[in-house]
Amino acid sequence: MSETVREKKLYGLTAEFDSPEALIVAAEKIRDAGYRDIDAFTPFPVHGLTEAMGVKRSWLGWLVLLGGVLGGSGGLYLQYWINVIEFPVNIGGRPFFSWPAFVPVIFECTVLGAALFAVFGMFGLNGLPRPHHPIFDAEGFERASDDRFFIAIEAGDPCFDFEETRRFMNGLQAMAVTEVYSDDV
Amino acid sequence: MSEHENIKPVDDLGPLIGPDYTYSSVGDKVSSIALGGRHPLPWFVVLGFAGLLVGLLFFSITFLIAKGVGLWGINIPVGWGLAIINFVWWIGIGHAGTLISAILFLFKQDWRTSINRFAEAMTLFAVACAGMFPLLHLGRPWLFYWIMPYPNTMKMWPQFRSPLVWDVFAISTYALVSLMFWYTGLVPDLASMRDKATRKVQKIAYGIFAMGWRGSARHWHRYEIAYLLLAGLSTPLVLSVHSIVSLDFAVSVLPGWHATIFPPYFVAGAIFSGFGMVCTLMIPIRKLYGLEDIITTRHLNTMAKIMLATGLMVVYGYSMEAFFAFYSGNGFERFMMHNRMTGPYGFFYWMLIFCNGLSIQLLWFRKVRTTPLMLWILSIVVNIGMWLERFVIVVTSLHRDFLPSSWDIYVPTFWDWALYVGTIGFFLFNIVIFVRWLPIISIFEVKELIHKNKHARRSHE
Amino acid sequence: MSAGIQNAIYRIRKIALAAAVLGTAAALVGFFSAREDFYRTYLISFLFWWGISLGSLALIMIHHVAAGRWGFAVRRICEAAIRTLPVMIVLFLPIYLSRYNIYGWLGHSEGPHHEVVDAKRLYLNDGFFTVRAIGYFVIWLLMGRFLVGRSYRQDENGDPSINRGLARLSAPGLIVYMLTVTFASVDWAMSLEPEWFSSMYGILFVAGQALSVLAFSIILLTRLRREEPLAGILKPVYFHDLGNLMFAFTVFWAYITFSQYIIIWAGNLPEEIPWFMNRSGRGLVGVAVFLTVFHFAVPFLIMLSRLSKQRAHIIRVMAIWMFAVRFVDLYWIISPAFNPKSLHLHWLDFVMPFAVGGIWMTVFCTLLAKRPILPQHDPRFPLRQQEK
Repeated sequence: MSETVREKKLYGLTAEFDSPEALIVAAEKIRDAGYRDIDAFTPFPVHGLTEAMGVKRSWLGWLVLLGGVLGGSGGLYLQYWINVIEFPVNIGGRPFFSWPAFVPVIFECTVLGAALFAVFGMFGLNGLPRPHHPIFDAEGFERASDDRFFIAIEAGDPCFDFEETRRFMNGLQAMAVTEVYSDDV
Repeated sequence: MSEHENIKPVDDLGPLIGPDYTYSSVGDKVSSIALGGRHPLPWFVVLGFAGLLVGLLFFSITFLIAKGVGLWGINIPVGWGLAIINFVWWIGIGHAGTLISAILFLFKQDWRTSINRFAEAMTLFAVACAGMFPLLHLGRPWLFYWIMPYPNTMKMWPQFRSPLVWDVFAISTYALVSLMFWYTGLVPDLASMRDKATRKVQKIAYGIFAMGWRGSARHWHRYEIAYLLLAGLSTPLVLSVHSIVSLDFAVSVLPGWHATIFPPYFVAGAIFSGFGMVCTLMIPIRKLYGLEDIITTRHLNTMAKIMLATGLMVVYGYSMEAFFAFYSGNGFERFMMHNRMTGPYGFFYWMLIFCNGLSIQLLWFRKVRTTPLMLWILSIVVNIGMWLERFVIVVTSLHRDFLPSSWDIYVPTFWDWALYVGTIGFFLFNIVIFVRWLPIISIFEVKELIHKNKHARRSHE
Repeated sequence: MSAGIQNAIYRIRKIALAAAVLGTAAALVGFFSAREDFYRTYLISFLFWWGISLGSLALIMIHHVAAGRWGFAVRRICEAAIRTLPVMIVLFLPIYLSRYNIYGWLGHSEGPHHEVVDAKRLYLNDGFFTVRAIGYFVIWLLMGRFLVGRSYRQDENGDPSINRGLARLSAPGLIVYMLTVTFASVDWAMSLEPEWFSSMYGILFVAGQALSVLAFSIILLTRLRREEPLAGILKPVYFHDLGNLMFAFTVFWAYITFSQYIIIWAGNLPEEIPWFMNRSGRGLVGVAVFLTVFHFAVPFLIMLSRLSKQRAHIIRVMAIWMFAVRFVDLYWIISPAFNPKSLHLHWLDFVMPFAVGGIWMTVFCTLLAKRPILPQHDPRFPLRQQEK
C-alpha cells in the first residue's frame, strides 16, 4: 500500500477464502473467539453463514406483516368511506356496503402494502443505498461479487487488537489476510 | 434439506447446468453479453424491425388521440373489441414470468434459476403493453386519473362495485410488485456487473443501480427473507390479477361471459400463453448467445410439460363452458354456444380449439418437447391460439346478445391492427434493450445452484 | 410390515369396526323413523368418504407425475384408499336404489322451473344416469387397479421401468379423473337442485377431495410415525411438505369458493341466486361464516407461520381440523338442497358420517395392514439410504 493510504483510518482486517465451506469454518472460529463486529462478503447467499457468525434472525417478516395489515385495512376503509359515507350511489340495487365487491381491492392493497414494506424495509434495514463503504477499499474486493469469500473483523470491535487479531486471522488458513484502510470509516 | 437428497431423477436429460461451470465462469459468460458489446447480427435486425413497429405504435396512438376511438372497428354491440382482447392477451403473457420467479421459487424448483430473470423482464414489458389498451380505450386517455380515488373539485369518487375499478388496483399493484421483485433480484447482479465492468461509464451506471450492494452476509440474510416473502406475495397476486381480469367479464350477466369457472380458467390460460411466450423468446436467444448449457434441454422439456398441463386445464375450461351452456337449460346460453361454434365467427372458434387443444397434444411426445425448433413453432401456435381465445370470448358473446335487432358483425380496422402490432414491436424493443444492457440470467442464483450441485456431488461420493 | 405398525392399524380398525356396527344399527333406526333425513345424511356421508377414495386416486397420480418427496410417505395410504372403491360401489347402492326419492328431477316435472328441467332431459334421465354411474365406477376401478397393481409389483421385483409406466398413465389419468369427478358431482350433488348450474362446481369437489385426503393422510401418518420403520424415515420435512400442500389447497378452496360466490352474487340472476338464498337462511348464514373463518381464515393464519410447519403436532391438529371442516363444507353444499333456507340438524347428521366412515375405515385398515407401509423398491426412494 502507498503512503497516502496509510493516512486513512483503519477499518479492520479481512481474510479471503475461495470456498463457502472454508468461510463458514472461519466464521465459526471468529465467533467463538468472541468477536461481534464482524461481517462476511459473498457473491451469493451462503446457507448457515449467519448462524456461524452468530447473527440473529431479522424481524423483517413482522414488518411485512404490518405492511400487509396496514394495506388491507386501508383498502377496506378507503372503499367503505367512499362508497358508504362520502359518495353512496345505488348501483343495480346492491347495498352500499357490498363486501364481496370490496374483497378484490382489499386483497390488492394488502399485497401492495406488504410488498412495499418488504422491499423498502429490506433495503432500509440494510442501510442501502450507500454508494461507498470502507470494505470496497479492501484489496481484491471486486472478486467478492465473483468467486471470493471475505470475512472482516472491524477495528471497532471491543476484542479487536491489531497485532493479536492479525495473528489470529493468519491462523484461519485464509488465502490472504489484509488490513483495510479507508477515509470512509 | 433439499429436494435432491432424496429423489434421484430417472431420466437421461443431463444436469440443469453444464458441469464445467465455476462461480467465475458463469458470471463471465452472462455478464459478457451485456459488457462485451459484441452482438450477433440478428440482434440488430430485431432492433431495427422492432424500432419501426414502435414508430407505428406512436403514430397510431397519436392519430387515435387526435381522432378518437371511432378509428377502430368497435361499435355497439361490440364495444370492447381488439383493445380488451389485446389487454387480456398481454396480461396473460406476463403471468408466466411471475409464475416462474415466484411459484417455482416457493416449490424449490431449481430449474427456474436460468430463466427467471428473463421471464420477469418479459412480465414487466408485457404488463406495460397491456396497460396501454384500457387507457387508450377510455376515449379520453388524458383523463385516465379519474378512475383513481383522489379528492377532486367534482366531489366524485369511483364506485368499487365495478370490476373495472378492481382492474385498476390489480394491474397497478401487479406492475409495481413485479417491478420491485425484478429489481430486487437484479441488485446483486448489478453489483457483480459493476465489479466486472472495465469502462468507466459502465462502472458508474451499474454502480448507481446496484446501490452499493457489497454482498454482506447480514444483507443477504434480510435479502433472502424479503425475496421469499415477495415470492409468497406474488404468487396469490398473480392468481388474483388474472382472476380479476376474468371478473371484468364474469360479473356481467352476458351469456358467454357470466360463468363461474372463469377465474381459474383464465389463470390457467394466462400461464399457458405465458409459457408459450417464454419459449418463443428463449429458444432463439439461447441459440444466438450460446447459452445451451445454462438453459438446457431439461429446461425446455419442463416448460413444455407445464404448457401441456395448463393447456389441458384450458381445454377443461372449454369443455365446461360447452357442457354447462347445454346443462343450464337456458335458451340464451345455448344459443351463445351454438353461435360461437357455427356462427359467423365459427372458424375462429375451431381454430382456437386446434391451436390450444389439438396442437398441444404433440407435447405428449418427448421428441417434440426436446427439439427446440418443434417446441418453438408450437409455442407460436399457442400464442396465436390464446389470442383467438380472447377474441372468441369477447366478440362472439357480444355480437349476438339478447336482442336480435341489435346484432352486428365486428371487423377490426387497420388502426386496430396497427396498435396491436405496434405493441408487439414495443415489447420486442424492450426485450432487445434488456438483453443488451442487463444480465439476462440471474448470476448469483446460478452460482448458488453450482454450489448446491457441488455439495450434492460431494455427499454422494 | 412390522408388528408395531400392524398393531397400531388394527387398533384403529377395532374402533372403526365398533363405529361401523353401532352406526349401521343407528342408521337403520333412522331409515325407518326419519326417511328424509336418512337420505340426506347418507348422501353427505357417502360423498365425503367417496371423496377420500377418489382424492387418493388424484393425489397418487400427481405423485407419479411430479415425483414429490411427500408422495412416498402417503403412497401406501392412498393405494389402500383406492382399493376401497369396490366397497364404495356397495355403499353407492342405497343412493342408487332410492334415487327416485333423492333426486327430484327423476320424478314428475313440476314446480315453477319444470320447463328448464325438461330442457335438460337429454342429460338428466334415469337411463343415462345409471349408465354414467356404472361408467364412472368402471373407469375408477380400472385406473386404481393399474396404479396399485404396478406399484405393488415394483415392491416385488424393483423394476425401475415401472415408474415410467405409472407416470405415463397418470398424466392422462388426471384428465380422466377431473372429468369423471366433475360429472359425478353434477349427477350426484348438483342435480339435487336441477334448475341450478355452476361451471365451477366440479373444481369445488376436486379441491375438496384433495384437501380431505391430505388431511386424512397427515392424521394417519402422525399417528403411525413413532412405529418402525416409519420412525427412522418420516423426518419432519415430510410433514412440512404435506402441510404446505394442505395449506395450498386450503387457499385454493377459499379462492374458488369465493370466485363462485362473487360471480353469482354480482349477476344476481333468477336461475342462479336461489342456490345461495337457500343457503343463507336462519342458521345457515352462521354455517357460511363458520366456514369462512374456520375453513379458511384461522387455518390460513396458523399454517402461514413458520412455526406450525416445523412442528408435527401442530400439523396434526390442523389436519384433524381440516378433516372436520371438510364435512361441514359438504353439509353446507348438500343439506340445504333438502331443507332450504334454515339450518336443519337431525341426530343422524352426527351418526351417519361415523356409520359410513366406520365401514370405510374397517376395509381401509385391513387393506393397509396387508402391505408394507412404504414402497420397498422404488429407485427414486432408496429405503436403506433413508434409514441412515
